[in-house]
Amino acid sequence: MNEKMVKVTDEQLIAQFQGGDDQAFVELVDRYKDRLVNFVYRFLNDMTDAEDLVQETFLKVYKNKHAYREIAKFSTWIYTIAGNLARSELRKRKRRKTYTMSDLSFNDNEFLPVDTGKGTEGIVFNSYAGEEIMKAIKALAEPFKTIVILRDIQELSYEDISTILDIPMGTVKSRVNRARLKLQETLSYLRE
Amino acid sequence: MQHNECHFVCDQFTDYQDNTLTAEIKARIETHLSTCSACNALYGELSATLHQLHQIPALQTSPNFTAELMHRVTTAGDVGIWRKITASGYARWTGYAVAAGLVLALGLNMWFDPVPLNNPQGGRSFATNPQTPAVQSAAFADQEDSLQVPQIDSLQLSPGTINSSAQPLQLVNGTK
Repeated sequence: MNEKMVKVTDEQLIAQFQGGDDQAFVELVDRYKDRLVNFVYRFLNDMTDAEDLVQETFLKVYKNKHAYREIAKFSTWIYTIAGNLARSELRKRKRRKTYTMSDLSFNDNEFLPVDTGKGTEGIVFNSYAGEEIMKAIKALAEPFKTIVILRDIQELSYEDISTILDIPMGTVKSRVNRARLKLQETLSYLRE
Repeated sequence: MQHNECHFVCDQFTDYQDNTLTAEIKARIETHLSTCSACNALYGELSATLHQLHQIPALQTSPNFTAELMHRVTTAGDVGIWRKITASGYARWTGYAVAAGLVLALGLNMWFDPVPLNNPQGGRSFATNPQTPAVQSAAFADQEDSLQVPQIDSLQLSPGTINSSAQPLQLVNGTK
């Protein structure tokens, strides 16, 4: 990675990209591709589809680079695009009434993503508890699922989530609270 | 009273975990947690759940993700404007709308102006000319008669044309 780029903010990079510097776009892709795949994957539950959708997100950014104005953070802008595409994809799937392999399977374990984590984190994720957490998140109602993914997995600020979802910050906080309580209720048997 | 306090404390758990509460409310929650075993247990479980959520490892994109994306970016730029238009779902419906409009316009024209297109006089609209077809035909006949002027070789004085001696002689028609 270009050392000079490390100190540059996302907003400066998008400004450079708007000025015609494609290398700035590549740097933004490198910064956000993994975060967005993690975000989108929790909705689609398919790594190939998630990567494809994230590529679509970046293509939209590339084609509509001048639509970005520095009134919002770049991160909230790109998360909004990815989130809208993910919701749109989910609606299409609902209309087509297709099912993921995970839905058709009696045992979800065989279709869990290949763990790319290194060290102890990977071990934890492959554990029974990790799988149960993923199932519990998947079972949450849509607004709560999005909130938990953005807050507790993506670790975005309440302010950013408020902007991305276009809801008041108080609503974000209350939904986070309710979603966590719901998850705790679902997963309480793991600690018994 | 205790029940209401439990509700209040539960609602503050997120802010309490994020350490974003005022000192006063924070103290109130800690006092309650030290006396209410149910809320204390719930808070402990919630913290454990949060800890588990944070343990979920990050997924990573495939190594050739950026290269594939840049390839898509460059090929997307090669798509011509005509292909974009024709590929659009709206293009077909726009075509249907234009065709329907043309058919409608032609139909309305035939309805309001039934004069054949090969009429040398051109079409006349009954909507703007209140004459009936019979009157119109008579008008056409008069017009044709007036055009049939006999050829003359010399200057002729037509009676009734000049009715005053002061009126100068006028050349009405003729070739020499």
